[in-house]
Amino acid sequence: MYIVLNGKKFEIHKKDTIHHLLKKFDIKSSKVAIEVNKVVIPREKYRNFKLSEKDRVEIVTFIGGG
Amino acid sequence: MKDIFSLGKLKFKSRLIVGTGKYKNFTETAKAVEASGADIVTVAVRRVNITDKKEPLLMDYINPKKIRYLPNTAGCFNSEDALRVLRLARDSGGWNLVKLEVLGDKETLYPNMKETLKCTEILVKEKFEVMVYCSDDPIACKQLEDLGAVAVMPLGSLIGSGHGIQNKNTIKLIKSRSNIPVIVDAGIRCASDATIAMELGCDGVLVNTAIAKALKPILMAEAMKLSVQAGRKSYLSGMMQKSNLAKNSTTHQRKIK
Repeated sequence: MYIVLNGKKFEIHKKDTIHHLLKKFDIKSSKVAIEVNKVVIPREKYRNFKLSEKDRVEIVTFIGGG
Repeated sequence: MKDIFSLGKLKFKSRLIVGTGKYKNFTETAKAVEASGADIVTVAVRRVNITDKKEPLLMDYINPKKIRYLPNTAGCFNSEDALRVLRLARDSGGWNLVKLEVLGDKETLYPNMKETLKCTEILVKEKFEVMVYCSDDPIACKQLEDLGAVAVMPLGSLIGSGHGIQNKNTIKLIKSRSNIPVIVDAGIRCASDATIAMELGCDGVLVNTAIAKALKPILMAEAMKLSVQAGRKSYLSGMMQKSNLAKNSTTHQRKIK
């Protein structure tokens, strides 16, 4: 199945969680925030949060800004 | 004399807030932040680059445990986008103190005050401590204060323009009527601009482009630190009265005749 990750289609396994997704990209959970379908997902839920077909996932971090 | 800078429930030593955008790289950003002596840096929220695992992260260069991150809503033109960004930012680091900016158009980056007021109200209800980039309008600033903003941040001139403090009288007026900190956000080009803002009685200044786009950003960061300190001390010292006529500095007594 696929999700839309940071604006792009991305194939994942059916039972993948946010935790799996972060592992795939080697991203430390402490350095990002995540929303699924415009709802912020608290960090403690990453491990058990199962993604569904066509979920729109945003993984964000801090960059330089004024 | 102790002179503590309070923002909501938090207290800081430095009255200079620095932005972290527009630097050559994160190493330069970190060095400039250190030279500025700032306790707070503004940061923006953007998508992680998932195609490049090795892309450096700001957090690897500026430790959020040592320097307060002030998440902003740069690039947001409506309250919905701004709310989305700040909710994500809060989850990322638990930061309640945020900088709200809802922009009006791309050419002027002037604040859209209707959206800004609307968004401030919602954020306050959601227990955010909101510092608000706003127009140099004493009425709008008062409305933001009444809504529960922890600081108002009127522009001195357009963001990134380097035109300095173009509105001394209105900034002074805003300060005289505010019960919350007034921070000049935007317009500063050189150290004396920051000093002027502080001498007007402002509680702090926010500087980004003036440091990042100086030929020697780290030197300018230090200059800004000193100028904010000088301006604050100058303001607190109680300046002399102006006079239209000259007044001799040396006594005429015992002058040789």
